[in-house]
This record gives sequence, C-alpha cells and structure tokens, in this order.
Amino acid sequence: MRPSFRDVLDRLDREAALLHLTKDVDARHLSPLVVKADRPILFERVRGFALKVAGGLFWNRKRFAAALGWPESELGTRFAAGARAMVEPALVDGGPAQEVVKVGGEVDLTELPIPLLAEKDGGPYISAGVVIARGDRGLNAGCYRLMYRSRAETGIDLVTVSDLRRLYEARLARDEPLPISVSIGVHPIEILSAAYKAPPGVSEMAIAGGLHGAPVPLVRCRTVDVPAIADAEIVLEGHLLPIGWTQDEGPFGEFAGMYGDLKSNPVLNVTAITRRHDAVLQLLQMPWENAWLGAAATEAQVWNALKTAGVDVVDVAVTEGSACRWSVIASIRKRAGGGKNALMAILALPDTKHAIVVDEGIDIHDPTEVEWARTFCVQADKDVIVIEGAQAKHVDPSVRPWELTHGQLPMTAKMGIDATIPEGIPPMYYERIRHVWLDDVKLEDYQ
Amino acid sequence: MTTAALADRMAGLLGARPRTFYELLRELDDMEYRAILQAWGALRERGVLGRDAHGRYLIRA
Repeated sequence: MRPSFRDVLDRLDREAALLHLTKDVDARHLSPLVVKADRPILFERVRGFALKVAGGLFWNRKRFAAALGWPESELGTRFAAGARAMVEPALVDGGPAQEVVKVGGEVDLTELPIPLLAEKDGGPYISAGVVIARGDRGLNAGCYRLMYRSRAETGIDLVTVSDLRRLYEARLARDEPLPISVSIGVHPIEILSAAYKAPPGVSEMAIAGGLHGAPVPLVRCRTVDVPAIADAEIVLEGHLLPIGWTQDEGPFGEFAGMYGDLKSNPVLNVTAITRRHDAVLQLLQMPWENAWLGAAATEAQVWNALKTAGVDVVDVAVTEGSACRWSVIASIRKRAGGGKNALMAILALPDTKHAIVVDEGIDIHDPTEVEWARTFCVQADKDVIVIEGAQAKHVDPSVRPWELTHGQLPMTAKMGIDATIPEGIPPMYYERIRHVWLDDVKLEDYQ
Repeated sequence: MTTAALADRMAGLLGARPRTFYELLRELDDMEYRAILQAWGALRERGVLGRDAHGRYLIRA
C-alpha cells in the first residue's frame, strides 16, 4: 500500500517539518505566508471556508526531497530507476476522494479557498492538479494550471504542445468535449510523474507506480468516463469544452520566475466536485514549487545522456536560479577529452541551455567549489563551447520571442564550460591547501 | 452585501479604469474572500469582462 498526500503530511508532522497555523487565516494571505515560512504550512482554518490548505512542500530541494521521502542527492537517480520499473495503476471501488460528492447544480468552486498567487495573475489559480484524460494509448496524466472563472468553470493553459492538447485537438475536430479529472492533494510522486513528459504510450501513472513500488489506486469518476486518484483530497470532474483557444487566461507568474502573457485558451466545465470529508487543498506556489517538480526529471535525463555517451558520471545537479532546468552542473571521473564529451551530451537535451562539467573532487552542490573550478581550470578560448541555433523555449525572454512570426519556434545559443583540470597540466598545480594539525586539535578543548 | 451588489461594485471599479485581479482585491479589503470569488463568477457570467493589452480587466463597452 503506497502512502497518500495525507500520509506525507502526517510524516512531515512527526518529523517537525510542518508548520501548523491554527489561527483564522484570510485566504488572501495564503500565498505570502507560504513564501515567508521556513517550512511547509498546513493552514488549519481559512476564514469563510471549510477546507484546510497546505502549501510550500516543494519550495526548495530539501523540502521537495523531504516530501518525496528521498535523499536530496538521489532525486535524479531515484526518478530514473523508478521510471524504468513501471507499475500499472489499479482501478478500485471507491475511495476517500469520493466521501463527499457534489454534482450538477451543487458544484461550487468557491467552496475551495483558491488563492491568488502573484500580483499580475489573471485570477486565483488551482496550481496542484493532476489532470487525467483517456487517450488512444491509455491514460494520460499531466499538471495544468486552472484559473478560477466562476462556480463551475475554470480556464486551463493548453497553449504549449502536450499530450492533453493533442487529445483536445482531436475532440475539437469532432466538435466534442474532452472529459477529464483533476486530482488535487495527491502524493508528491504522482505530481512529479504527471509533470514528467513521458514518451508516447507510457502512462505517467505507471511511472508513479514504479516510483512507489505499488500501483496508484484509481477510482471511476461519477460524471465523466475518466478515472481519478482514489485517495486524492479533492477531485474535479468535467469537460474541456470544444470552443478552442477562445477564452482569456493568464497572465500567470510562471516557473521561470517571470510572467507569462495573457493567453487565449479553452475552459473546463466542472460537472462534479468530490472530496474527503476534511479535505486539504494543496497549493503549489510559483515559481519554486513548480520549478523543483522539473528538477528530478531533468537530472534523470542528464544522468541517462551522460551514461549513453560513455561518461563516468559522479553527480548531477540542476541550479535553482535556472528554474531547475536550464543550467546543469555535472561532476565526472574524467578521461582525456571527457569534459567536452560530457558537455555535448548534456547540451543535446532540449531544455539545457548552460552546462558546467567539473572533476569528481568538486562538490557540485557548493557554488564556491564550482566557481573555484570555473575560475582556475578554464581558459575561455579552449574550454568554453557555444552552439548556435539550438531549440529553445518561449519563456526565455533572451530569445526575443515577441519578434517571432506566428508558428515560428524560438532558437537559442547554448554554452558549455569544461571546468575539469585541463589535459597537460600536472595535478600538483591544483593541490588544495590543507591546514596543519586539523585532525589533532579540538576547539572544545580550549573553550 | 448580495453577490449581485458586489458584482456591481466590481464592475464600477473596472469601469473607472482597468485593473489586475490583485488591484481589484485590494479595493475590496472590506469583503470576505469567498464573497469576492462568488461575485467575480457572477460578473464573468454577465459577459462584460474584457482585457487590455497588459492583461488587466476592464468592462467592455
């Protein structure tokens, strides 16, 4: 039996890693309190609402790893291993997610304390939903933001290419709605898996099962022919209406830390809200909680790329300032030319824009160590490679996306820095100083 | 204040000048958040909400 979101909160509570706020909180203040807290928060009472709220579980690498129950250093390797050992989800008869069922005219999204996250956001957003749709090759799961519009309607961002967009386009061509479920308050492994762009034909929920080592339980929805996660805190059921990209959605403070534009998007018509009796609404606060969701998958991709390229890789880390995606640092056991080979492998990945490769003795989680290597192992004319005209993303303003014509994809220049000790320089020149009698003298003996 | 009356108040604010949702919320400090969500939904269903080039809400003429 795999743990639920509720079990994760209980475990964090036992580890004194969860802040309980028991005072009445104005829902306007959910977002700033999550930003200011030094640990995840469980809001016990939100004024005017019956539901609790939890936020900040994925705010940094440490918290994200704690929520998953994984060591920080193993985000990428654990994800890669779990993704290879898939376990298909299991359909079960009912679950806590359906303890309360409201359908049709009873549906009222204002029962949920949906928070406003950033100043220029187009409205309050449900940010932690795992959307499940039925595809031609099985179930598809993804993470999509939902902008509150009215009692039974939200916006959904389907501008970017995705499996859900492809399924929606197929239904739109037949003028049919696409039924979906949105599971909110699920185990972090299930959000992590849903956020991962699985290869075609691979179910994200089967990846989640592999990471759990047990199937994800799914339950039939009450009003649509799609399952939802059986022990989710809250489930929205509904249809993406066949209206195309016609309704205003956004702006939205995105995972890169900048605002995405006002967009035209479809809407979700909510046909049912089901939930636990004492449901907890999870909020993902941008940018870090979304950015860290991408970290494990990016690190796993880098591990795989380096191994495929025959590089003896020691450690891999994304950098927080690059939204846990664009910049990667790797340490390797280097053979002659191995630094450049590693850079080519990393930069071949679609999202990676900058890469630094260092020797195995460098702690890649210590910025000072990495800067030391970048300063003293690098000659810019020999150790920096630049690749022009590579695939890019619109969200990076430096690619000047506003200058693109409709349908034109952005391109970027990628940069790799080989900060390994250069071939031909004797290692003695890089010997680090070691202070005298360090092993023999104890500070406490003199206090 | 009823949902319809609060929606009217919102319409008045947006009619005066375009506002982000956050700016609108700041004008409505005296109202409960859930009441604002309810009124916002009611206002949207009237079909009068528009946006300017910066994504701010306005009342369509």
